Parts: sequence; C-alpha cells; structure tokens
Amino acid sequence: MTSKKVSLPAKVSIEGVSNVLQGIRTIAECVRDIEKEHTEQTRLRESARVEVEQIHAMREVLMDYLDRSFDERKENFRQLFERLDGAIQGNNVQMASAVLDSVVKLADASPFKALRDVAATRAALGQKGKEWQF
Amino acid sequence: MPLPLIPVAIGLVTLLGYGAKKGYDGVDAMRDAEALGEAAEAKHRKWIGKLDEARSGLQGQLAALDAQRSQVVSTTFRRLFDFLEQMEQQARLAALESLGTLGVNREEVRQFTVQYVEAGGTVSGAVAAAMTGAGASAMTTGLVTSFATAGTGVAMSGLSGAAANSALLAWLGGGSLAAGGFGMAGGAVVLGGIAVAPAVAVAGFVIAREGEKAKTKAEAYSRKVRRQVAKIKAAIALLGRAELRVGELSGVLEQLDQRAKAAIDALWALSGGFDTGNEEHLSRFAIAMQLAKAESELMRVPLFTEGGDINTQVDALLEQGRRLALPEAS
Repeated sequence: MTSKKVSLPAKVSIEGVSNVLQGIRTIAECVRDIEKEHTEQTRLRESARVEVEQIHAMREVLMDYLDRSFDERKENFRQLFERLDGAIQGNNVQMASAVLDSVVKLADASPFKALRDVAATRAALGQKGKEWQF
Repeated sequence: MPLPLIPVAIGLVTLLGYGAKKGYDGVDAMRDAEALGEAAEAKHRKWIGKLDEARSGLQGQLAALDAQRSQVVSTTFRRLFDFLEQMEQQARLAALESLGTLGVNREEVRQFTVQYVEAGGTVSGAVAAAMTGAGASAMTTGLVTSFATAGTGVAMSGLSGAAANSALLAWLGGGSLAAGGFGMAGGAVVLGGIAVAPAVAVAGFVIAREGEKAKTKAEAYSRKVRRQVAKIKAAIALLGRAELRVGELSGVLEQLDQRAKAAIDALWALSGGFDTGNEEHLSRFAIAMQLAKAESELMRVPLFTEGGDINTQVDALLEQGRRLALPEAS
C-alpha cells in the first residue's frame, strides 16, 4: 500500500527532471554554438578586410607600375619622333630607318608583357598571399 | 516540500523569459542575415555593371583603332600604290627594284602590300612584281594566305578583319564575367531555406542559434562578394590601362601617318618629274616607303600579349589581372 503511494510521484518527478535536464543541455549547446557563430562571424569579417586590402594593395602596385611605364614611353616616343623629323628634313635615309625601327620596337615592347611575366613568376612560386615586389 | 521548488520555478520563468528574448534575437539575426546578403548581392551587381561599362569603353577604343587602321590602308597606302602605278606607266618602276639598298627589304614591302590588298586595294601585276619580288600571280593567290606565316606570324585581326572583329565583339558583348571568374551566384541561394522555429523557451535558444548560423552564412557570402568586388575593381583598373595602351598605339600610328602622308605628298609634288637617277628623289621615296613600312609593322604589333587575335589578347590580359589580384594561389 505504502509502496504504491511512493513509487508513482517518483516516476513523474524523474521524467520531469530528465526533461528539464535535456532542456538545459539543449540551451547550453545553443549558448555554446551561438558563441562559436559569433567568433566565426568576426573571423569572416576580419579575413574579408585583410583579403580586400591585399587585392587593393596589389592593384595599386600594378597600376602605379603601368602608369609610370606609359608616362616613360610617352616621353621616349616624343624624343624618337623629334629625331625622325630631323632625319626626314635632312633626307637621311639611314637615320630615318634606324629611328623608325626603334619606334616599332618600343611600341611592340608592351608594359603588359612584363605583367604577364610577373603573373607567371608568381604562379610558379605558388606562394599563398605572400608579398612580392617587382 | 513545495519550498525547494520555488527557486526552480523562478529559474524556469526567468529561463522562459530569456528564451523568448533569445527567440526574438534569433528572428532579428535572420533579418540581419537577409539584409546583409541582399546588400552584398546588390553591391556585386553594381560592380558587374561597372565592369561591363569598362569593357564597353575598351570596345569603343578598339573599334576606333580598327577604323583608324583601315583608314591608313585606304588612304596612305593607297596613295603610295597609286604613285607606284603611275611610275609603272612611266616605265620607271623597274629602276626601283634595288629597294634593298634603300633600307626597305622585300619582305617588309610585301607585308604592307598584303595589308593593302586584304583591305580591298588593287595592285597591278607589274607593281606587285617590282615591290614584292613575286610574280603577278602571287598577288591574286598567295599573298594574303602567305601573310599568316610572314613577319610576326600574328593574324592581322585588327585590320578591318570582320572575323576578328566579331570575335572581339562576342567577347566584349558576351554576358557577365562569371565564366571568367569574376562573377558568382546570388545570395538568395546561400541564404535560402531558413525557417523560423516556434518561439518557446528552449526553442528561443534554438532560433537564436539558427539566426546566428544564418548570419554566419551571410557573413561568409559577404566576404566572398567583397573579395570579388575587389577583384572586379582591379579588372576595371586594368581595362583602363588597356585603354591607355590602345591610345598609345593609336597615337603613334597617327604620328607616323602624318609623316607618311607628307612624304607621299612630296613624291606626288614632283608631278611626273621623279627621277630614279636623282639621289634626293630616291631618298624621299625610300623615306616614304620606310614610313609606310613602319605603319604596317605597327599595325601588327600585339596589343597586350604575344600571339593570338585581339579577342585572345584581351582575355589573356584579364586572366593576368585576375591571377595578379588573387591573394591565394590560383
């Protein structure tokens, strides 16, 4: 008689406690996971910032190189045409021939060819995000 | 007996309240994730648009260079060949067979003769023979095809070459750069399928966790987009420099053409009085020929890289840019 009265509420309370514990476990897991997600979000934002800065820095270096190349070439072409005009005026066939050869050679030596070489070198080195210089 | 349960009850009520708050946070985080994804997607779309604009700009410049080259052939080269025709009629062309002594070799002359013929110009057999050393039949059969192996071996794609032009237009006009590595899928794919769970105590935390997971996905997507946008900006900058290169070649061609035209005009100014025995006349003729030859060579100079037509070259240029702008090994 007494044993019947005691065993029933015990069953109920054990089940209840087990449910509460399961709930607390789930909450604890959630809290831990939420923290993990926060950490991952911060990491993603930071790595995005670093990556973008790297690409921008690379872009600046390349564009600066190309701009300087084109400026230098502009001046070289100017000087070559000055000499060419002198040769034409003096009817100097040999001089005209030599200068025209230089004009075509300079036009052919594109700054982009140098870029290709840099790209190839970089690919060959296969360095991950490592800084490099011209 | 109920006394020890009071703190538990308070704890549970607090937990329920906190859970509900977390549930609200979770839904909020999902909204944030969605907004972050949408903003990233909009940014990406905007920069793809800017990239297309940059490509259109380069396309316009290349089209102008193409027109300029055709113009050189149809005016300067034509005027030079007309002069040669006139000399042939005066039976004085044979005297110029020793072009080598004037610093103009036959292969070079052959090349710009080919450009002239390919652009629709006609040269009489006698002029062809005198200028290129080939028989008259070579002009009608072998000259154009032999060009492929002459000089640099680069196809003359920029010289009113319809095929090359259409290839270029196909490249410049074809869709976004997704295929070339500058594009990516929209954020909707990444952020799709996030469901809102029922808001109860434990579920509140579960929703919060799901919300944060969605936010992490959105951050990962945003990171990808930011990297892509940085690369697109690099590509746009590179296309800008490609325009500088096209402008440079166009400028040099213009400078040469002005001088070539003046030199040819000076030949015409002799008006039938051209004397193959006159040293000065010969020098004038040689300089005019050299200028035309230099123009011809300049028109075969590759724009950005060795080999291939313009289409291949622009492709190679962007590939260079992509690889250079990539922090990780490609």
